[in-house]
Formats: sequence, C-alpha cells, structure tokens
Amino acid sequence: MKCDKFSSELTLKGSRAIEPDAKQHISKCKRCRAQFDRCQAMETALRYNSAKSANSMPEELRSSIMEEISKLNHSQRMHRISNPFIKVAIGCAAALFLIVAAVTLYTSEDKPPAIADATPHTEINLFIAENMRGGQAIFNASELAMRGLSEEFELLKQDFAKLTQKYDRFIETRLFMASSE
Amino acid sequence: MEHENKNQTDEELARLARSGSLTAFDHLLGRHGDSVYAFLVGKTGNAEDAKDLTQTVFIKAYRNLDKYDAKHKFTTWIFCIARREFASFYRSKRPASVLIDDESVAVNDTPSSAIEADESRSDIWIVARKLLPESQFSALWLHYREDMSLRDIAATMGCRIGNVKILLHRARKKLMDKLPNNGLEFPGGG
Repeated sequence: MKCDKFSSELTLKGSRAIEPDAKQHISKCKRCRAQFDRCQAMETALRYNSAKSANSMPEELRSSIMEEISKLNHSQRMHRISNPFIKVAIGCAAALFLIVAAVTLYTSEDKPPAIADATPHTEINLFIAENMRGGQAIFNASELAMRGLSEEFELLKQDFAKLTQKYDRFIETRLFMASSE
Repeated sequence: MEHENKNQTDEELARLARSGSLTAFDHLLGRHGDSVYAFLVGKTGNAEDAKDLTQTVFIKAYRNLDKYDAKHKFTTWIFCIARREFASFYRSKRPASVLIDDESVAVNDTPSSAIEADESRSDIWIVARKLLPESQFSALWLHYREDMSLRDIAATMGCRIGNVKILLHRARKKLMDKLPNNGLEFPGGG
C-alpha cells in the first residue's frame, strides 16, 4: 500500500511549515520524500520564477501615472481653494433672497386689494371713501344756506348733483353685472 | 525632503500624499508600482491590460487616499484595489480574453511565437493562471510573490484567515496534481 501520510499536510501548510515528526517520517519514507521534494520545488518556482510575471513597471507608465495624478491634484487643490468662496457666495445669495422676500411681503400687506379681485362690498366702501368729498359738500352747502350765501350754495348744489349721478351710474353698473352673472 | 521620504513608512507617505504631496505619492508608486504591475501581468497575462489596470489602480488609490486607514498596511490596501479592478476588468473582458487564448493556441506557428509558447509553458504562474480560480491565484500570488502573512492576505481579500488557508491548500493541491511528475524540477524552481 502506498504511503500517503503527509500529502495533505504538505499542501495545507507548505513544505516550510511541516512538523518535526513529519520530517522524521519523510527522511525514512521514499514516497513521502518524493512528494516533499515536489512540493518544495513547486514552492520555489512560485517564489522565484520570473519568466514573464516579474516584469517591472515601465518607466513611461510611471510618468504617465504621475502626470494624471498631478492633474488630479491641481483640480482637487482648486476645488479646495474655491470651495469656501462658493459656500460664502451661496450663503450671501440665500440671505439676500430672504431679505427681498421679507420686504416684498411686508410692503404687499399695505397695498389695497386689486379692484378686479375685490368683492362688491369692498367696492362700495371704496366708492364711499372716494366720495367723502361729496358728503362734505352737502354739509358745507347746508351751512352756507343757513348763512344766506346763495352763490356758493348754487355751486355746491351742482357738485352734489354730479356726485349723485356718479353714484347712480355705479349702482346701475353693479345691478347690470349682478343680473348678467 | 526626498531623503526624508525614503526613510518614511508607507503609512506616513500616504498621509503626506493625502495632504497634497506629490513627491510622497511618487515614492509610494516607486515602492509598490512594480509589484502591483507584476501582479496584474500575472493575472491578466497581458502587459497592455496590466499597464491600463496599474494606472487605474494608482489613480483610484490617490483619489481615495482619505479613505485609507493607516491601521492597515498600505500594501494590503493597494492590492485590495488591484484585485477589485481586475475583477471588474475580467467581468467586462471575459468573452474576448477567452477567444484570444484559444486563438493564440491555434495561430502560434511562427518560430518566435513557438519560443514564446514554450516560455509560457515554463512559467508556473502562467500555468497557475490557467488552472486556478481567481481567488486561489490571488492568495497564492500574495503568499509566495509578495510574501504576505495569512492575516494580510485575509485583509486584502476580505475574508477570514481560515479561508485563506483553504484557498492556498486547494491551489497547491491542484498545481501538484497537474504539474509534471517525472522527477524533473519544476519550471523556474531551484
């Protein structure tokens, strides 16, 4: 029967790490000795064989790598330098935007709503506000009549008539719009 | 400065390179360029592909220097990148390289190619590349050519030490079974 005592130990540990008792056996057993020699020869070949695989890196490859690296280094450095400026610029733009938005909102709150969007009720209020002068005119007319100043009274009566006409037109328009809706 | 760099460890050089020192990275390239290139030539079996891959590996390493943890050896890290790059290269080129291998067997009739073929038969690493799976080849290469410890190989390959032992055992067994058993010395062996 062929001795196969240490073949798996050889391939598991390699020829260098073989146990002392195995070494003793190898020195006596021919077959195991042959196996050990084969393994040792294979390992030596694996360590020192340099037919094609031990090529050293070509010099032009090294310079080409370093060229690429220096380009990369330059762009990374530029990025590192410009990065804080970009951050500051973005921060400033954001702050400016916030300020503009706040001012816009603040100013838009003071403005009256657009006439087109206003409700009829608001329209009437606006109309009255606009024509306060007319109301004042009526009051003034009555005052003047009491004092007997007829000429001024006549002028004020004309103002009042104009105001009434304007008011009538407004009412008519609203009624027409309401009926057409 | 150059003299200082020569005395520094890989990890210190990596730290300097991370802070923008090109000289430090050049020293790292000088120290590990040859072994990474040889590893990739061994794996691809093609100098041109190995050149491209070596360039990609070192550029990737430079880009990711901030991710490098100096607790581990730089060699482990760079070989880890090389292995991954080879894996993605292999995935993309697999059908083509299989065809080229078959063609080279059929077309190699000229005297120079015959010498080359003879040479390739004599290189145990070429036999290993054809015979072994990628992981076994890598474990074998890192163990015998780079003289890495089992722990470093495990770190490079992202597996346990036990797995590395199994990979090495299987690789040795396969090579022992396939290589000549006629009393002659192994190719390139002492």
